[in-house]
Amino acid sequence: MREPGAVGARGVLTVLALALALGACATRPTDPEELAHYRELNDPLEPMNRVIFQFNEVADKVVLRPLAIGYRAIVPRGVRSGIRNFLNNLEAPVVLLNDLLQGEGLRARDTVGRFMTNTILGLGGVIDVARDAGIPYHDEDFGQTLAVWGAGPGPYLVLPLYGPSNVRDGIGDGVDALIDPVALYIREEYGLEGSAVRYTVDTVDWRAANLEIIDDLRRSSIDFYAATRSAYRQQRSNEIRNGRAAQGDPDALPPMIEFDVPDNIGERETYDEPLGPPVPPR
Amino acid sequence: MNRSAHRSRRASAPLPRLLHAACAGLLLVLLAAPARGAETAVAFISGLGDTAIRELAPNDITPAQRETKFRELLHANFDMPRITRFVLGRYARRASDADLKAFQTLYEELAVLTYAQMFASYAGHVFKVTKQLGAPGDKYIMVVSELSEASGKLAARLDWQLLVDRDRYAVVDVRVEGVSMAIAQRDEFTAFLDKNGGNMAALLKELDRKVKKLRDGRAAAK
Repeated sequence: MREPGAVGARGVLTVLALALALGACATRPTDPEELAHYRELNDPLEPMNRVIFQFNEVADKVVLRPLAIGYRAIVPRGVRSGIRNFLNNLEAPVVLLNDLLQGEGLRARDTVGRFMTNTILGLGGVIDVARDAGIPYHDEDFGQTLAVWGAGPGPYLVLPLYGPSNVRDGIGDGVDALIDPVALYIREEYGLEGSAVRYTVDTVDWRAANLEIIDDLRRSSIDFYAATRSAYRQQRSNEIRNGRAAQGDPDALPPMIEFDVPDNIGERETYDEPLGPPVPPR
Repeated sequence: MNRSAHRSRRASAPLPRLLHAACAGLLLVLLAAPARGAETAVAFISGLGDTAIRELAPNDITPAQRETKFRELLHANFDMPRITRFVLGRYARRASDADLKAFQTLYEELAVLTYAQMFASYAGHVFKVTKQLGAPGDKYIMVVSELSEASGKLAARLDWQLLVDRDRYAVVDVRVEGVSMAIAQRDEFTAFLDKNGGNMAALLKELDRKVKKLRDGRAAAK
């Protein structure tokens, strides 16, 4: 029996968060430079987002992180790798749908090839045979599809228990849940419990794989909320370009950063030391 | 619901990758001897990478030695004064020279304490430069590279923004999976300053506290 209430959980959360946000908006600056910065951060709901972020931090420390530590202690590395491959393989249908919706023919072909290869030769997806054959996993979701179709991100959002998002990506996740044949199959056959198991294992496995790195980053950060927001904005922008820079497509790279702060350009003395190897004549 | 799980994983993924690649990136540059005679930016980064991988394998150096080496090579190969001003955003212009200098010292120390000890996990990784983007005479060149595990699994795509300053290259930014370290750090430091009314003294105090805490933590772990 399908559980319609569970289908668009993230989409519902997005709407709820927006409703809660009325009355919790950040102050819009008047200085032109500060205003430009404010627009780039795209976080008018920051006060509310920070509260939810803190809640998520506590949930991580109290529940998720201990689970991840236990999972890693009990499940051997090879088994964890098999679980990750299996879960990635289950995502193939929804990745394929989004590849096609974005007109990415070659990536759609890769997705089909990976799914067939890993399901048949890789023991139902436990072994990533396709990666070893030179077709690595790639991700795709409806939030990216909406972006490719021209939708802007909408305000940045931190969703309870889900983490960083924005209005477009939150809606995209709801749509993915609706169109994902594997999710539908799991709900039909195993009910909500089946979905919960997949969700929980996926999340705990990810957290276990990144145990030290997240702990280290959190420890050395002076504003973990701001660091997360920046990384999310940049990473999503990169994913929407599909990382084509790896193939050397210059248009896929974000523009180079200008490193000179205008008023300080005159301070050349700091560059008098040799900075690296000589540049050959061009 | 499951997609939400998936989303959550992906949404948080940039941070660990960011850190990993920052380490990898810095390591590659830092462990390399100055690559004199490098012919292109590709050769510059590629040479650094190869040297780094070669010198990564021995795990018999002490944490203190690793930090010292990291610090020295950070100074030699990254344009720290320029990066320092960039990560302070619009606040750099208002800061006094003394504050800028104090900030740079603490910022470098934070980088050393955050990244240095993570380098050991890159032993056996393979570093490959794909290409460089930029025309002759450009002020900046981007070098595109990949770091892979021994199994061939891609660990991170790293893009290096190099400043061509007079007759030298210097790294000004490392992008991990398209996430710029410089922008991420600027967003973090300026968020702190926004919250504290632009008070540089408050930022310096917080960084000093953080550095001391990390140093104590490392000492306790020994």
